[in-house]
Amino acid sequence: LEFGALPEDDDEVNELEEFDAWKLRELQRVRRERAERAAAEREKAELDRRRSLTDEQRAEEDAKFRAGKANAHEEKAQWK
Amino acid sequence: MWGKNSANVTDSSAVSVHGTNPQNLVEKILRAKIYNHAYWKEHCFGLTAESLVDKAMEVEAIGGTYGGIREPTSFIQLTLKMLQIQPEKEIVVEFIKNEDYKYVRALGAYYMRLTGKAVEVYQYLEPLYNDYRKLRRRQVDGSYTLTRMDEFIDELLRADYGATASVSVPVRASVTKGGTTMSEIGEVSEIGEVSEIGEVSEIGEMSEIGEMSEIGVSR
Repeated sequence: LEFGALPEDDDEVNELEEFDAWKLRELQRVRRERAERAAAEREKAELDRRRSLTDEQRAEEDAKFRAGKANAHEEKAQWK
Repeated sequence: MWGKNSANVTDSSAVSVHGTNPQNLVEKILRAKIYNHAYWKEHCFGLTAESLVDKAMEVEAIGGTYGGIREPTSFIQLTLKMLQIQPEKEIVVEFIKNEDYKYVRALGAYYMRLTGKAVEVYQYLEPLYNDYRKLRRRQVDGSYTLTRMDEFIDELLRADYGATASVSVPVRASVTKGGTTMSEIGEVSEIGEVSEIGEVSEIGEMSEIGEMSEIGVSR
């Protein structure tokens, strides 16, 4: 069974393009990292806000959330 | 093949990793394939931590298994050998710090990813994000593709099943409580041209793995 030749992995060729491609990947990773951090911060802020509410406020918020959902008043279909 | 007197038994001085025999980190079917493979019998028999380096220098590609019978690559076989003989951590770190042989570095990184504690994994592997040398990867169908060292490291640190490593590593935030993954951002910003993406350089405090950054790359 023949698998074909080994591709060239010499690092001397196209050094500049390789470096630019790396830089792009690196910046994408930085961006990914920051997006993840921002998302974690948003979630923590939301959690803190929610925890600081009183029971009444929380119940009110829950009711509003449920009313906003589609099919909120329909019964769940019975599974056979 | 599995007996206590066979050549495949784990070194008697090896300590368990992740609560198990280190060889169990390679799954059983793959392990059996490796034990039966000609490369394992011919080239991996009786290897020590020193002689394993020579074999690692001859590795031509990273990868797990390939071809119709999912033949194991020499890369994964040497990984199993390392799990079997359990070289000291310093030796593994020397593999990772190796500048001249990228496949030795890849092997060391993979082994560290499999066996290391989460903090160690990040400590030793993150500086390799700086390394953008080409690596051949053996695909499952037997063909080769080119990847880069930093992509391989990213896969090891982020993917669920990176290069058949089924041991999960916690996300970085839970390991270090803040800080950033990107040790090399300082280096990027001094090269310039990143200003349009903006304020990248402020991320770059990487004190906790500061002393590792000299591993760097040869470019």
